[in-house]
Amino acid sequence: MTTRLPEVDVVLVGMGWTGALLAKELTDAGHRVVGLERGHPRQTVPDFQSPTMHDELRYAVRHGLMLDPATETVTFRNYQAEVALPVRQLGSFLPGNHLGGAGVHWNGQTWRFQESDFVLKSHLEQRYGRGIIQEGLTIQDWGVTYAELEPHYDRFEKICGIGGKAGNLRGQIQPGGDPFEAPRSDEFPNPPMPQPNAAALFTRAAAEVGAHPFPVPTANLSRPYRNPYGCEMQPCNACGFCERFGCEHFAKASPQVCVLPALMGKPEFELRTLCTVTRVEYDRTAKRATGVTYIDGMGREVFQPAGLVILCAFAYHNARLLLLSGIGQPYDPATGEGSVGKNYTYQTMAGVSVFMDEGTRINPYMGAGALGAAINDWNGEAFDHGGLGFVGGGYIAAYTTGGRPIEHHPVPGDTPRWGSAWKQAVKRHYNSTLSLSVHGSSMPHRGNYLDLDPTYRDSLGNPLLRMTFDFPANDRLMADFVTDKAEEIGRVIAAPRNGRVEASRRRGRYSVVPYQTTHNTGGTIMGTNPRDSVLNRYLQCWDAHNVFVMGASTFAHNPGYNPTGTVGALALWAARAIRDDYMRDPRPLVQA
Amino acid sequence: MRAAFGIAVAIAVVGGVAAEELLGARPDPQRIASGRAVAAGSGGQGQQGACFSCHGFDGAGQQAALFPALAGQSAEYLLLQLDRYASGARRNEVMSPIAAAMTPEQRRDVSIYYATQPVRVPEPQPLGDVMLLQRGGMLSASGGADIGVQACQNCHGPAGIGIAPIYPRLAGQPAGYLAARLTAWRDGEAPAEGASHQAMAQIAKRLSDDDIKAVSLYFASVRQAAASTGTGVLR
Repeated sequence: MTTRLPEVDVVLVGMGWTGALLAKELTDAGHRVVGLERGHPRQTVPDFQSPTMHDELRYAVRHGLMLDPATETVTFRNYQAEVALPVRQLGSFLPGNHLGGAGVHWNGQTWRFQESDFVLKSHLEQRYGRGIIQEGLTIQDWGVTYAELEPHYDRFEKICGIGGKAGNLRGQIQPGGDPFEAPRSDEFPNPPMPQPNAAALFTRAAAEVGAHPFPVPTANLSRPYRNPYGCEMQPCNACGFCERFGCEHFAKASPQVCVLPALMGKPEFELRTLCTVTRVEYDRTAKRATGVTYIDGMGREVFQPAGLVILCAFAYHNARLLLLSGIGQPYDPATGEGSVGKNYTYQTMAGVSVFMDEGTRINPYMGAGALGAAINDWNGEAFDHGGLGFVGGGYIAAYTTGGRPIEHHPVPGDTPRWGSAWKQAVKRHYNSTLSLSVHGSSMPHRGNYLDLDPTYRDSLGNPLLRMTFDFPANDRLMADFVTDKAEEIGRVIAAPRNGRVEASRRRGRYSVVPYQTTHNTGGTIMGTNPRDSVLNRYLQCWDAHNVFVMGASTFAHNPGYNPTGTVGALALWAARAIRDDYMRDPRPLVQA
Repeated sequence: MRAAFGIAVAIAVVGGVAAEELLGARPDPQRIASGRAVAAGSGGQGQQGACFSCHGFDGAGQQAALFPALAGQSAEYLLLQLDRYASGARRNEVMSPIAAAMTPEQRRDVSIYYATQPVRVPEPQPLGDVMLLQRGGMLSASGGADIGVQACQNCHGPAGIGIAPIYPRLAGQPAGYLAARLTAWRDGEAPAEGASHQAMAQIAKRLSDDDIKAVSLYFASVRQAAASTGTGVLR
């Protein structure tokens, strides 16, 4: 027995960053919007307050804010000949749950992609010739340009109150900023945070090797701020509990702080929590969605008719919903045909640890999620790839995100893994170890994709998503190249401090066990034509003009930056197209 | 963890005085003795400005006269406030001339002296309006969702005993003193220099008169001898 509800203008699936932004933009235009969230409602007060929130065991170790894999998970394999098995404990990536989604537990590192990223295939072939892209890589253009997104990057940064220093203001390189960033129309709305010792040491060493260091753009607020929606934010006090935690101080940009105060209570908007959407109802003949079906908190099946359906769930959940709903053609790695599930990408992470003398104090506990300095000298197209054998790159950063007691205990590789020698090494190195992150791009490969698992199902009986992924050779070469650079900088830091440098390189197959990053991207990619992509340049489904998809699942590849800045910019770009164009005359906004 | 962040901030603001000397695990007995002499009126401020006459030698302050307790505060916090009085960053008709008349060393030593005094739990006071007290306790422990204010205890510690060295103790302070500070910040006075301190101004601006009364009454009613002991801080 399915309950059928009265029709609304717009239904949003998922109420994280993109759901909140779409809800705000579309209700402002007078549309009636229902937001469906499968988790609980939660707000800064009382849900994120201390001492409850500063519980590393509950939130960092036991993943208290994440989706419970006993409810729904993915199955995983490295390549097609393997049998995929369910991920029963979260590890490599941590999909969020509940109102605000991963926008609650992110770190706040907020980047723009480079101009070349949006036209990557054309750019690489023009600059280096066709041979530059390795056989098997399915690199494509995105269908949108940086110049088109720029005003929306700017607006998202102002909604979040990002603190940073411009490096390229309307084409003029600015001292103190990132000279390799794409041109921006305006300064950041707030200054950078005060830089900690690790960032200062890195900044000096990076400059010494000829690189161009700058403070990382941060969504941890550097001063009191009121955003364009009228929401008020407060300065960060560097408590060191960002990643995997909610911010108790209204000091980290999140849907709760930056959008929901201006959205909740509007008569055009209704939030429904504990509602798990199981499919988009799709009229194959008319090539339109009629609404969504979900299971509510009482276990009842409900059909919510809607004129417009927007998928705002976490990246790979969007791909699964399209597959479960039969919208678009599933990707087939054997033929390369079909697009849903294609170009699943990740992030190629590596790192360098610098163990220094005890007199050099890092004070890792005075941290914030995006507190640090970085260089982009070997990211994207900032450097010449001629003769290197790979494309892409990554940033190198010295972050001080927090030195929490259970999980932060850097020790040299030859330390025993337990016992008194280990304890002594932890004591010795806790306050004098500097970590450099290598945050590398992930290029799409024809063998890396998402589809429905033939065997395993979730708690509602629907097939799980199956993830097939390993790092392509291109990305391994890239990671080694950038890690070499990080090691060189590490040695400059270590030399006068009697230090030693250890690189953690990208070795072996990709594993879902150790945490790497929650930047799962692709699977419902945007592009220039319906053969190669799921969505057009406005994030509208080629196969259902009243279905739009938001988030990092739309990325045709994953550049060497954190995704949230681009996720926000794309959502605002799509919101404008929906509001100013689509809603007046519902139709495909791009002719196939 | 926040306490340690505070250490760095304190180092940054203490400036002229050798800040690291404050941070030792054990205070120098000579400094304590010298600080006690300053409290007695031997500093540049003289007998008329003797600290003990209002705050007591035990640093308990005087509830009825709204003189705040100094025992239970960190040396770093006390020194920061004396320096701010002396420089004019914080203004008070009584305290500004007293602090300005002391040498930097006298301000340091008297801060160390009072920071080493054990907390004296104040005599029980009439509780006043229980509904206000309830609201104050709620704001302190979990914040106000209706006004967008986080819990006081995030920074000021359980029951407001402070988190040394930067976040001051609120427990047992005179209600009128706490209310006066919150009202001053709401009216535009800066709580301290530096962006992270501006949080208190933002919070004060969101509090109604009743909210200010409520939290002040609540913290004044806390009878708690335990004090915050941050690592490397004078105790």
